[in-house]
Amino acid sequence: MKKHSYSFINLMYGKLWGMFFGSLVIMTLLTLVNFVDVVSPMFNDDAKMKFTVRGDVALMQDNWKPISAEEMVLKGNASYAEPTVLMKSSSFVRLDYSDISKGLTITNISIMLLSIASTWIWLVLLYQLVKIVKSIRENRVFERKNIKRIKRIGVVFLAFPILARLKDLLFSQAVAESLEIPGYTVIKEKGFWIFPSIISLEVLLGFLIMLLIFLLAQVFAYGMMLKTENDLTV
Amino acid sequence: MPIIVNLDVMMAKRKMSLNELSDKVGVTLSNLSILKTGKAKAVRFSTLEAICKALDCQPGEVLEWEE
Repeated sequence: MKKHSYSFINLMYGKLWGMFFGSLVIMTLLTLVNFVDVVSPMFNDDAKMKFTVRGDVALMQDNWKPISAEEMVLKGNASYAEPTVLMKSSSFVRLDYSDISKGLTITNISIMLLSIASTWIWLVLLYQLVKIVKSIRENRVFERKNIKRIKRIGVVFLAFPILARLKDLLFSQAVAESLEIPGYTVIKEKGFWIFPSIISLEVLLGFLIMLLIFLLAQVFAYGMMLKTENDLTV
Repeated sequence: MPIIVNLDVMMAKRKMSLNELSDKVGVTLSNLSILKTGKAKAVRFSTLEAICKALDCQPGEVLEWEE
């Protein structure tokens, strides 16, 4: 068997393992910090959630006028560093909050779980990539396992924007839950144009990328078929 | 498998071992065993020619078709 000597592949292999283990350490730490942030308010009343919430909320009002910070009322335990009206397009207002609320509300737990999931899914992609590069190095590219790996990478490309979109929606929900502006009705952000709220432009793009990668997997399956036929020809 | 490879029968008739045949034909042992166990999907004409030459026989004696 002839051994390929792709210097690029050899270079990539070491770098990818480094990236994988680096990400593993960073993400474990991030997960721990995230967990402590959410769980500690259970035991300590003064502790607050640390993450900044930047959510888009829609304000129902016919005659829109700029809203100052004094007009906003934060409900319940919520507090803020500096609420700022960042952008206004049609009736949407983007508000910036930090330390939005404390405690284990369903929204907060979902945000935590989603941020954990969206970081760990990156590791899935890296691991599959490392495995594929390893198989190229060992001169066994056309494996049934590799086809599965390529498909998994495709699914990650769809899952990533969906998770990000869900997180955005939950952030909007968190802002809408704890914000009150007299004279306005605060509702959480609506979807992108006519699509349901989960589908954003990124999700559509991710879906297309997934389809392309699935096509690549089909090409690999054909290559595998040719290779077995070639291997079994005496 | 409708096509049967009678390689072991011919080898026994000529009193030739697998190693010897592999040397004469110029095909690796693993490929010969693929052929012998009937896992092969195709046989090159050049391989068939070399086998017939080494065993001094006709292709019909090595290959057989069965319903």
